[in-house]
Amino acid sequence: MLPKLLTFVLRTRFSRPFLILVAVMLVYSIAITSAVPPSGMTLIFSYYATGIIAFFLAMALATGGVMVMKSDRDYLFTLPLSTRDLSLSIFVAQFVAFGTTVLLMFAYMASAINSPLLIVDLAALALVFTSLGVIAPSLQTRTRVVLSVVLALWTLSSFLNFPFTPGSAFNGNLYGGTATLLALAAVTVVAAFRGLSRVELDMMKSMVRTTSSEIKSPNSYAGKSPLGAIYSMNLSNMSLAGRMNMAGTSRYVSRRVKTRWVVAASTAAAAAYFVFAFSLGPPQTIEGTDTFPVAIVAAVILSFLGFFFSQSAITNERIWLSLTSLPATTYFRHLIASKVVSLMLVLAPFAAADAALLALGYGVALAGLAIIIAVIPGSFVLEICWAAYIAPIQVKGDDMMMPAQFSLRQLATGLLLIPVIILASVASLFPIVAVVGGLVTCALAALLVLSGGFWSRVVTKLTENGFV
Amino acid sequence: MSSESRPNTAHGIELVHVSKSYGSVPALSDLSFEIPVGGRYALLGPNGAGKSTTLKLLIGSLRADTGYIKILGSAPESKESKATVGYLPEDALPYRMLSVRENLEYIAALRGVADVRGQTEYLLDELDLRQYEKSNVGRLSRGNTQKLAIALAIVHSPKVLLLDEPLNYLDIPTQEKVISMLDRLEGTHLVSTHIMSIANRLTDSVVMISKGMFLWEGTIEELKKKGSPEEPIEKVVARMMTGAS
Repeated sequence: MLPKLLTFVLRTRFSRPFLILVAVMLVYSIAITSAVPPSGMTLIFSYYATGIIAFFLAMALATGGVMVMKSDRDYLFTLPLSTRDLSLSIFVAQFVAFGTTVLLMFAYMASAINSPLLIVDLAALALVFTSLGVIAPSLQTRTRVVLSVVLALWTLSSFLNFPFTPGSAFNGNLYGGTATLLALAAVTVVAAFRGLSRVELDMMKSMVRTTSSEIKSPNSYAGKSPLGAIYSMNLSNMSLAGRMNMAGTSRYVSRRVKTRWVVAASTAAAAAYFVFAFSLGPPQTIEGTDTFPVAIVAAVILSFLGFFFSQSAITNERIWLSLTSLPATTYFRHLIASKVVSLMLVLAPFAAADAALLALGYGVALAGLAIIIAVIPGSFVLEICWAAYIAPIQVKGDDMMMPAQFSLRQLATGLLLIPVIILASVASLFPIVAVVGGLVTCALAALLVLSGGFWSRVVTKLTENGFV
Repeated sequence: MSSESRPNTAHGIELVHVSKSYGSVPALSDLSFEIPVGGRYALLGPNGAGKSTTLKLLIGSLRADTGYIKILGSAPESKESKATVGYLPEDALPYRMLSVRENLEYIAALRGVADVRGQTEYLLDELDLRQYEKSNVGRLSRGNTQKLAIALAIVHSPKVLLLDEPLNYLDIPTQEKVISMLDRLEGTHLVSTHIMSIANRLTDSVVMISKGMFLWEGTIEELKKKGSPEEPIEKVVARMMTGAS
């Protein structure tokens, strides 16, 4: 029964081209780990790996979800299936979506360290990512946020040479890091399977939920102009969303968070970044200092953050209300402008930290500052436009459910992140590239945002993709 | 249905030789019909007839491949048309992250309603939503969500109202309340529905389409006369639709 069930679960959650691509990429990643001669772990790769692991662990736990669809709740879970087979099938689906991402993102690093242990590390890391996504929905929001921050800080503590963290294996403490990852994988996988064994009950709970949560500090739009209402709504609240295999979640999140709380959190993170970068001492040359990779990693992570925010810009839209009120170009132009301002409010503390470092003689902070100010805003707008045009998906019902199948087209929403990361990385070496690249992306973004023809096509796409 | 006299000199809604395809699949083929200003019409048709596509063309979220559409003389995507049209889709979803009151105030502000607060208070009371005004819409029952959606569709007192199965999910007392409220609203109404009893309560005329093509137009009384006196109107409609296929 298991093979049939597993095939059914995979085919209903992923399109065939998507599965083929994942298989090809896995073969590629395995091939590259064995084909490339070891060159040793460079400092920048250490920082990159640790920073990205911290970010993705936190995101997987904060926004994770089980790959269950409404039809599962209505049909699959009513069948007399073995709980073990069902749990295993869903876990494999989770692994295909999230675990493989880890292998793809980190496999090439295996060539950098001459140790078979790194293969074990990658496998353990993939299992941890997969399991955190399963565990996340069963936790209260507050618990999830606290645990996400703790996980991120724990991982980042490897920068302080703490040997037992999820990032230590990539940061000079191979044995301690491997032991930690294996222990973490054991704990999270067991917890994930326990969660999956009662997944039907959790889904049923979501169906019969009767509590009516009240919004504690609602906004008022009385007396506001149409455009004032758009800015008021989007500057006071934020939502984070993502649903693609590199985003670490199978669902779109449509809970709102007060922007001031997100800014408070980013201020704390920026302060920690400043203190850490400052503690490394003023750099003498760009290449020879620790501050340089710290600035790059911070900028790359902020680019990821911008991407995550971009994915929720359209998903929570209600076109039957907004686009019957204002012309599409007017509405989207101001919606996007408000989202950019909102994102920049969150990133402003990091820009301030970089500016302060720059003033204290840390010349390399110029790269981070240039990326935040010049590259991220334009690329954020392009990511919103790209997602709206390529694979728009609307959050309609329950957050617990997958709103649509994983497909290649949806995966393509992440493609734009690649040139952005490359641009951010090159700009770290040559800050002028950030300025030029930023101007180019801003010009492209402006062209799209101001184009009536583009938004007319987007509206058709949204409508044909079932947006209400 | 009120029997007040309505001017019949201009078109509230006008579709002329409209065709629309999704890729190679035709949804509407050379569809033409007109609804006079103040007319109350039901848009009837079997599944896949093109009713929802027609409504989406009327609000400007889809563009016709050929032909043209006018709402009170303006193109659907024009500012003039947006100011006059109210639209309720089937299974309408308000903003899930906002409360009931926030939804009403936000959309009223977006539509440039002069008295946002006053209109919000009126609709909260009119549709018995007062007790849920602070509730997160994502947690509302389907019936209360539908009540809010109806309120959002009429928050700006539209001159042309397009409704797709407006009484879905509503209990009988609420249905009566909504029917009474819609009856009091002035303007041109086009109601897409499968249920003849709803068409009968909300409208007095019918446009029937099938396979994306115009089939028949007339009053409900004329429709009833197409069958024997004891024959349910649903049977008459079914026969007409089946005859078209």
